[in-house]
Amino acid sequence: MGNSIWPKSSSQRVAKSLEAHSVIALALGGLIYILAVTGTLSVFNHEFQRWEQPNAPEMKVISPDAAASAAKLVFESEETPTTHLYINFPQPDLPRTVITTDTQAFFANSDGTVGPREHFPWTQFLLDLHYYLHLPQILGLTVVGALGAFLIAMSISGFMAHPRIFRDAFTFRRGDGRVPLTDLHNRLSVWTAPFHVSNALTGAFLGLATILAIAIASVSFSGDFFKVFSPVFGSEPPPIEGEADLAEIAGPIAFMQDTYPELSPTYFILHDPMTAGQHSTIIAEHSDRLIFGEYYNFDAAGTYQGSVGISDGTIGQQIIGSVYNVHFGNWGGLPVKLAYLVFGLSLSIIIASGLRIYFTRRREKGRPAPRLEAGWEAIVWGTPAMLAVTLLAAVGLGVEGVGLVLIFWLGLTSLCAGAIIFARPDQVLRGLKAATGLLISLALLIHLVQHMSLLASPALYSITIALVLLVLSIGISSRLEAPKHAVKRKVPAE
Amino acid sequence: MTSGADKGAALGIIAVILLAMAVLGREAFNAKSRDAKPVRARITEAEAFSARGLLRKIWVGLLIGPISGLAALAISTAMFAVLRGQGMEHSINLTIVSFAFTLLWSGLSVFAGLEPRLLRKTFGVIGLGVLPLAYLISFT
Repeated sequence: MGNSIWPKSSSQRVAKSLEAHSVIALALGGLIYILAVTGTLSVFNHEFQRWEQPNAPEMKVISPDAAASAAKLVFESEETPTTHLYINFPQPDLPRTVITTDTQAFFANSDGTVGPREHFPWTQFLLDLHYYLHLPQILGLTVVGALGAFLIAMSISGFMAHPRIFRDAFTFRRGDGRVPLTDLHNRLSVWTAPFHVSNALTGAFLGLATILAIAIASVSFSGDFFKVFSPVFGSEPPPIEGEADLAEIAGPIAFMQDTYPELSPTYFILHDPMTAGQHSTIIAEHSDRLIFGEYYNFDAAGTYQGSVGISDGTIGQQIIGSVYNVHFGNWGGLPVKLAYLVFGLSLSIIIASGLRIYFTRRREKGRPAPRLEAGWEAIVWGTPAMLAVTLLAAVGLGVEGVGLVLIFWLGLTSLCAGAIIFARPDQVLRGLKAATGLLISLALLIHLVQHMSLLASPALYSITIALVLLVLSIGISSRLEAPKHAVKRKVPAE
Repeated sequence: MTSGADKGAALGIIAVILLAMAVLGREAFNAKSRDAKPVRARITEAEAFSARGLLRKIWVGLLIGPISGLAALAISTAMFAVLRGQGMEHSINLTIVSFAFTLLWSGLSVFAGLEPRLLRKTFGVIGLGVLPLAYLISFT
């Protein structure tokens, strides 16, 4: 064991580490894989939003007066006054202005009039799947956060199980069988470790923040949950009863443009509009930082009150302010998003290949598990296949919300059950791979026919080209030799 | 107002990973393809069902999952209270315990998974959770 990176490495510990690695992967690999696939797609959620609704009004910037005018029009149209009024400013990857209240969202035109309702059901479905696994919010966040912790546990046990993993960092053997699959799994695991460890850590940070804050609040702040986060993100003053005219909206936006022209405002938030305590916040991105933005606060008259300190406050504020962007890869434009795409696909391959190695080893040891193996292939290719089904349902049939959730989970569960009964991993893999390609092609075709006049619009063509490339790559990989699952000998039952 | 050092470092890490993946891709492309070694026709019997074995697996699963999580939560919450008592600045304290919570959960899960002795892993995980819990109860 002279080449080991671990002192006193023993074969027993390696075996036990591998066992722990396998146990966690077998129990939770499916859910972690779904998070990896949806997370990779979620990096491009702005592009998907544009693609789903390509005819929305677009602009590079909006004037303060136009933004304020559209916001007032939406606010006045509300039957029940909203507690918060938001303006989402145009960004390079989403050049649209959106006015959002507690209950609805509309696009703003550049002349200050109100455009169509914002509507991107499939992207919302995708984001809800990645954030919450479609569970109730706090429970969903906690489960997703816990899966992030288990992904780190798998990384730790994986590295412990492979003492030569760094020495063999550039070894890659091609051919049939388990060896090339193992090399692929191990090499990608090592080289993308900075990504998948930091991504799992930041994902777990975001997901587990709520229950940790509840625990800390109950012990250190007499149960006052908001006292945990207010020193980081600032706090809202208590609401003040009494009516008032709507607060100044254009003033703070103009102030930011004039005073901080190097910053990029992303949100304007009016808190408790038309009450005596109303006040506003602008969140602005700092282009050379990882932080999601800084909060700039204004009173009702539009007078600047100061910033919270995400950009230049304590080191803790700056680190916490960077967690979201580091996780979602939206801090460096398209090049960084493409890098996250590569890393996200690598993580998905690592997870998929990990359990394929496990099943191959079982076959080699004379303990094949064709039903479980087929079930795993149903998760690996059933996830993109069912995402493609939901895309088709949203685009072609106008299904949204709970309908998409039911289609995805019932479909994936049925595919897994069917695969376990069918017990032919090779055929499950090939069938679902082909189905994924066909379903994406069909959704793409329907969407193109619906929006033929907008074919040259960047809102449409970027995702369209990406999906065409995806279908082509699925077709090419289908033509290459699939992993050998066929069991060539008589085997006992699982 | 801003240093930009954080973003530069992150971009550097991305560049290194992409470069390494490119080298790896070249290695994979240049590698000679070999046929898999024939697998020995070895047949082993499926494990006999044992209620005790099943209960053990369920208990280990609970240790790896929720019990490790609760222990990590207790440790992190106690850590926050202790560091707060020592005068640590709030946001730094919160940052440390937030990352610690995840890492502790991961670490305890790995320990519960790889430690062969059931009693040792049980007392290890639960003990690490109970001690800070006792401190928190006395603290509140």
